[in-house]
Formats: sequence, structure tokens, C-alpha cells
Amino acid sequence: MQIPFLTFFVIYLLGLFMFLLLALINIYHIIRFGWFSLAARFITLIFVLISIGIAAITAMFLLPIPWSDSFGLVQLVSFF
Amino acid sequence: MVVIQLARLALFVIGPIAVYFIVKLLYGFSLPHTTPLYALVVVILGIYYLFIWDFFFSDFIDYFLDIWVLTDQRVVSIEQLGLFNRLVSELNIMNVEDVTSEVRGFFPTVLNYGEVHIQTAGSQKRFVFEQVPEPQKVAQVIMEVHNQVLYHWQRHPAMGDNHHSGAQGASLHPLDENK
Repeated sequence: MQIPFLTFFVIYLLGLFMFLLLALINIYHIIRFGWFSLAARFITLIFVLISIGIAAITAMFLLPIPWSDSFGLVQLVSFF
Repeated sequence: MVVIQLARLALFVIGPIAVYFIVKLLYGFSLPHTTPLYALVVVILGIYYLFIWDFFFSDFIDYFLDIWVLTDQRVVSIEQLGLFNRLVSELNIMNVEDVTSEVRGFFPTVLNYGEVHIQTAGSQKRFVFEQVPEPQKVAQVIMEVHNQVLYHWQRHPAMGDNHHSGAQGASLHPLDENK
């Protein structure tokens, strides 16, 4: 049975979507109830910047993967 | 609280990297970019780090949006309980019977934070302020305000609850310098 590498990309996109959903809810809370504070604004900015950084670093590692190829389950397990 | 959270974050961030280097040292392997295991590891780590960062931010919001306000009329407690639960409670300052501060554990003792319990008249449950900096000072301020209001009320009983036209408040927010 052959599994396309793209499966991993779809899983990553699902994870990214869930993260964005939670992040937006968090940012909504801080804007709605804590925007009066400079510390809250600063930490929100740090949160957004580091999130973008994590996504960018992950993308950098994902780029060299041959997304158009497929692999067998044996190939995945055989490494161990 | 913030220090402990930062230590936890550091542990969660460094943990997987440390495991990778230990396994690499022990077994001396490297993952070529074309293997499915490489893709799997990158995807799992990418999602892991995003969610760890998000949970850390959620914890910060949970802590930061807990606000207690003390006025000469009432004590207001605003608590953020998770992402979808916000609790606002009010207590008339006249109903305060006794105030207890509690510093329990190693980190609370070293960093001087803890809980403040306000016991009210009757069978009402206790008001609890959690993870408050300088809890003894907070408890003392609450009792001082209560005693002042009581003294004022005893001298001018006719004014009843509306003993002041303008409430003077003090924020007990953990990050507020004017607490």
C-alpha cells in the first residue's frame, strides 16, 4: 500500500488550522478584556511573532520533502 | 507564577531537542530528507511547538485576566476560567467578616504570592483570590477598608449603604503597580 507524502502535509495543515483557531480565540480574549494594558499588547505581539517564527522554521524543514512521491508502510517502519 | 510558567515552557521547548540529540549520540543516525520518517518527525514537531506556545499564551491569559477590585463599597472578583468561562462576583464590603492570607509551598514562599480568603457573613462561600502577590498586604488593605467603612457607617448610620457618592477603588491586579 502506497501513501503519498502529501498526507503529512494535510495533517500539518489541519494542526495549523486548529492552532490558528485557538490563537484567534486567545487574541480575542486579550483584546476584549485586557487591551488596556501595555504588557498585554507587548506579550500578544511576542506571541504573534514567535508563532510566525515557528511556522516559518517548520516550513523551512518541510520544503526539501519530495511531496509528489509516495512511500510504503514498510518503508516507514523499516527505519527502526 | 510567571517564573514557573517560563521554566515549564523552557522544559517543553528543550525536551524534544534534547531527546533528538541523545538518540543521535546513542545510535548515531541521521534522517535523510527523502524518508517518510523525516516528514513525520517534522510535522509532529511543528504542530507540537505551535500548540505548546499556544497553551503557554492561554495560561498567561488565564492569569492576566484574573482581576480583583477593592472599592469602599464592594470587592469585585473577575476570573477568567479557561477560554470560555468568565466569572464576575461582587461582595459588599460590609459583609466581610474576616480575611485570611495563605502562602503555601516552596515557590509561593520564595516569590511571595499566595491566596487571600474572604469570609463573609452567613452561609455564603468564601471569596478566594488565587495567586495574589503579597497576600498579607492585600488582606491587610481589605480589613483596613472594611474597618474604615464600618467606622463611617457607625457614625452616620442614616446614610446606609450609600455612604459615599463616589467609590474610591484600588485595583488588585497582579501586574498593577498601584495595588
